[in-house]
Amino acid sequence: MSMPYVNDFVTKLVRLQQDGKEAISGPVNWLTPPLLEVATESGQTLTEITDAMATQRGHTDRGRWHWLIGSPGNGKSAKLGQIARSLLEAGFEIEDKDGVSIKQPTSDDWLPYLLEVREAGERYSSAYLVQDASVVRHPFDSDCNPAKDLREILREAWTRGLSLILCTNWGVLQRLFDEGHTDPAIRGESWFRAVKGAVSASNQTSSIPTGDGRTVFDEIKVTYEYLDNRSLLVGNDTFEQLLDKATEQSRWKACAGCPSRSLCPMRANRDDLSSGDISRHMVDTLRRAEALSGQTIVFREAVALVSLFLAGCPNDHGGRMPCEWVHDQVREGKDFNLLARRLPMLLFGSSRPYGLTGHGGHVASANAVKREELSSLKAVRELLDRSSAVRRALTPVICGGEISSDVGVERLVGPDGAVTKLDPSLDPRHARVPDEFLAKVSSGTPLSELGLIEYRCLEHWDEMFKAAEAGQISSQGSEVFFWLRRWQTTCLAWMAATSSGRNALRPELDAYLKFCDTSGEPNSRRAEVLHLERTLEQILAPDPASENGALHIKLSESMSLAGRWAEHELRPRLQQYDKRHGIVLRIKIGDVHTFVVSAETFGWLWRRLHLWLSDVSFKPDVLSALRRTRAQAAAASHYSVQDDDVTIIVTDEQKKKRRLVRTQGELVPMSIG
Amino acid sequence: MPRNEPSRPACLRDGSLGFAPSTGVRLAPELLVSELFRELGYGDSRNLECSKQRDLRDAVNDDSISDPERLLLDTCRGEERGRRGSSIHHFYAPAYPGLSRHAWLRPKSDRTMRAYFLGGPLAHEKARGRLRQASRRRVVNALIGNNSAHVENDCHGKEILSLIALQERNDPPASDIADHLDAALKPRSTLLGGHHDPLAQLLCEDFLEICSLEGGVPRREWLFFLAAYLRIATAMWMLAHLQATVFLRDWLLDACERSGRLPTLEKVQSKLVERYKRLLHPSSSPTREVAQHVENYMQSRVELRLMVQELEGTHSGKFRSASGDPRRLSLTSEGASWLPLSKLLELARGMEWPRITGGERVRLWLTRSAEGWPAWRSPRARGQGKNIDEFLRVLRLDADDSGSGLLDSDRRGAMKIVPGHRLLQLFAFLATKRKVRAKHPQDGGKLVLRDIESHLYEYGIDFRSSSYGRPLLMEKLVEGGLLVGSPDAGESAEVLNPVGN
Repeated sequence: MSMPYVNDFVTKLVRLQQDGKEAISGPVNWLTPPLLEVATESGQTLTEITDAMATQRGHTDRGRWHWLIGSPGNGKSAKLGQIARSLLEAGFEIEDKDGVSIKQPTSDDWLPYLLEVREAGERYSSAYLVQDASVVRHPFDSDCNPAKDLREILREAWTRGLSLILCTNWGVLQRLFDEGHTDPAIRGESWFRAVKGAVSASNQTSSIPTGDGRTVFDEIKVTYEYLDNRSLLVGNDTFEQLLDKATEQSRWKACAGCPSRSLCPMRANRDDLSSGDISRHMVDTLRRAEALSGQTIVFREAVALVSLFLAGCPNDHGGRMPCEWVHDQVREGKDFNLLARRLPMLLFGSSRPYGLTGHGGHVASANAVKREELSSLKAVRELLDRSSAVRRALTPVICGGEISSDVGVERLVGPDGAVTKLDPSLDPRHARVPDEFLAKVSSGTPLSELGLIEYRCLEHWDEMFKAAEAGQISSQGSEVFFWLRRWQTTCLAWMAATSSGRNALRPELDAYLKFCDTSGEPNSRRAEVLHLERTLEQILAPDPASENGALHIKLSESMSLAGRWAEHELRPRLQQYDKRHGIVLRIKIGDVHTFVVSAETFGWLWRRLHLWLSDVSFKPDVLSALRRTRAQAAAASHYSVQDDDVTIIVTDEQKKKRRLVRTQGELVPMSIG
Repeated sequence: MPRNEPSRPACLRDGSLGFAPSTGVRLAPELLVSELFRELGYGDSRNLECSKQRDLRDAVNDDSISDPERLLLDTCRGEERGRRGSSIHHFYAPAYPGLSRHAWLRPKSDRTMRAYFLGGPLAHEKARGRLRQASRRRVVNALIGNNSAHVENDCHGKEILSLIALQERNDPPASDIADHLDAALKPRSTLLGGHHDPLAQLLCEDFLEICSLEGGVPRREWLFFLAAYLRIATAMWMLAHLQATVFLRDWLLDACERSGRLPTLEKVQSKLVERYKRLLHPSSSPTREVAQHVENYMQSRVELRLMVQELEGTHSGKFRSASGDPRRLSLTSEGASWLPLSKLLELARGMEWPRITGGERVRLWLTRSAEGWPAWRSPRARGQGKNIDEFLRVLRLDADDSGSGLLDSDRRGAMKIVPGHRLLQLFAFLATKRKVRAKHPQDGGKLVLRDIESHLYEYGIDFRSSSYGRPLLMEKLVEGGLLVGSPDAGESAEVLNPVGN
């Protein structure tokens, strides 16, 4: 029996998924470049860093401290791996404290806390690499404290005048800073200035003199790279680069001549993602998901997603290589299994394979619906010819267990994932999309966005409808048609969404992203910002009618604040957060008080502005938090000592209101009305 | 009427080690402000000439106050909290001390603010010489109002509330308030004598910070901060204070049973110093932690009295001074009129207990004797335990809607820690000030979640040891708009100081 066609790239790609061998970067896999290596903005930095390790080449007399700061999965270790490779190429030796070289790790889980970098022929190291300062150095120490371990490393590197490349997270740095700042002995040490610089994030580059004794470098240049909240999709093309790398023609040459090629979902996904439109729509969908979740897609998630799209889900493969799994499915005619691993299904239906009824709602009622749906499909299967292709394709759908709903990247494509929430079938504005798409398909014009798998499945649905009609299954006839139609419609909506970029909440999220993007022309948004701010004021006013629509702030049940001063000083203003906080908008009230506007809240404001929407539909918890923020801002303001244009409205127990207006310092009682 | 507990031995009377003054129900934090203002403004929160208690709500509804004063009271009215009969029920905080003359406690009523706040942490710090004249002046100025119009008789740039009812208020003069404050803080025996007490120090420093805040924020907001502070500070001080009786009972019982060595003075001091630690813990389900503290206290109190009564009966001479006056229990020997704890423990160890217990173990005899008393059997329903339990209800969220409560109770009385948004604002402010006091440089020394946790811990509320604590704290800070840093930063997530810089 001849060896089936296998694309090694796809096999390797599977290992990049979150539970895969290559998912986490570490010294054991730093020797070879990662499968999907992309250029980053720190290319220049890389050369500088490599030069800063060398003491003999006359490149520089300054060492370098370069700190990569970010949460797990942000790509710190991958960057450090890049630096390590660059150092090895330049002839440096990298080994741990016991002299174990990175080239000959002792085991697969070799993960030293500290690596020393030594120039060829040199006895002493010129730099340290710390891959993860967020963990403790000595796990069995009775006084485990990552901040203390980091402090020791910094002090040692500074005393010896060594370069230092460090990966750490924000929490450890803050803790080190807090502990050091209250201790005059630590606060006075030169190296602590680097910690202070990292925490303040104001001065990204500085220089510190090294220790007084014999040092490798006399001075250290300190630079920081903040990876938290750095989007790979918004204002950055890293994700597109990953896609380009993964869909490069050369990596898919092995598929040429493969008999399963036309029905291979991985290959079809690759073709889609290398075509301009679908790739663009997919990236847009992920951008919207990122905005909706309020959390950036980290590097590890991005790589896992690319791997899922192009190598499928290892849980389906049952120990086989992805290509072998495809061959088996093609041979057995399991077309719906193949469809389940196509791009639209992976994006919106990973948690509900085949596009059947998913999770959500009450468990008992969800199970009842599922049973009803399956019983309808079973009824259809009974009407199909035993040897027919449609029956072969339908059987795994009914029996289940062959396509996993656990595909990893839960936060994005899980049952409550951010991408799953963009399912166009959830948005009534896209209700007609499946019908329009079906009409387009039925017109006979070949659609480039559909592959052979989709056409085969469309035929299967067609045959199922015909069989149901011919079989005259009267007792449950209408239900059978309902469930068949629902299944088909869901899949069509997803296909249409992937090819046209139609998602739920699309206009709202696009507007949100537009507001967050500071690179655009601010004036073009100004008018809309003003409208949104006005809308906010209206929602926040406790009883607009009583004050003729003018702003008044409820400080308590018995007292409100009004007047021109409050109107000006406590007006909610929409602002973009600084880059370190990611893609988030905030409402600023007064000098210090802010309220983070989630994409969901923004979406409501947008709909309130552009569509008919009642104010009572505003989320009550968000409204009360927003009002509380404004009351806090009012409390922290100095309304009570303003001489002019401040009005207080006092309501007694009988709900009788009294208005007191302050003008030129004096308080004047005014009648209400 | 049957008695609830054994009579108090003379050595455990007022001022002795472990003595817990009487307390009583306070339905809302506004009442604590009113009581404090009256104690300091008029020297006594009670009205000795009127047998009936009266709060500011009663004053609002009768003709004894002027219309402008009524308006001023309305500005500081608390949120609606249930109905009394057909009418809506509110409590009022007096914006200025002069208004507190309209409200008073009964002549026989307890004076909780004087006993557990002024006479508690503040008196301790004054006895240690840490509450100096300047600090006391700060308290007086805060009460009068740093921006009050009547101080300089000028309206420009003055607090808006001070302009209301300016002529009708009749605020007590500053000198009277200062005198009353000095009298309330007069040196008296406190739990730890002149020793360092971190809880007293923190509560006192925090109170002074709140007094310094007056004038920096609107008066109305300051009053709510003060009310939130008084309810948590007084209640936690009380809970911590009750622990001393439990410790005393344990030490005495160990001495009676001759188990182990007698505790050294250092050990006793260190145990008393740490009496406030880990009093309350957040949990995912309601617990009886508060009720258990009260029950433990009441049972210890009954048992302590029974043991001391036996000792007093056997060694009556040791319990009296040369002049025949009863000696009061103290931590150390402070003179002839005091009985040091070490002496009491030695007497207990040396006594022939089997003769009294009929050969039974002392512990067993004690339980058999104590269970005859209603206060031991139903500690929260009888005697002083009921009063303490009622006072501690002031910590409950449903005591008001201002959001300065700490505990959420279920229908069966079990409690769960759910810090209200205003309470968290208070702690964010106090933690910021504490950071500054610790000479933490302000350049980049941001307030972080850990600081809030640490401040709560110093009050006896341990958010650190429970896995549920931090997520709860984060959730509540987010709801209150105070958590501005990323929750991913964990304990280093940045928290906003609600009153700015």
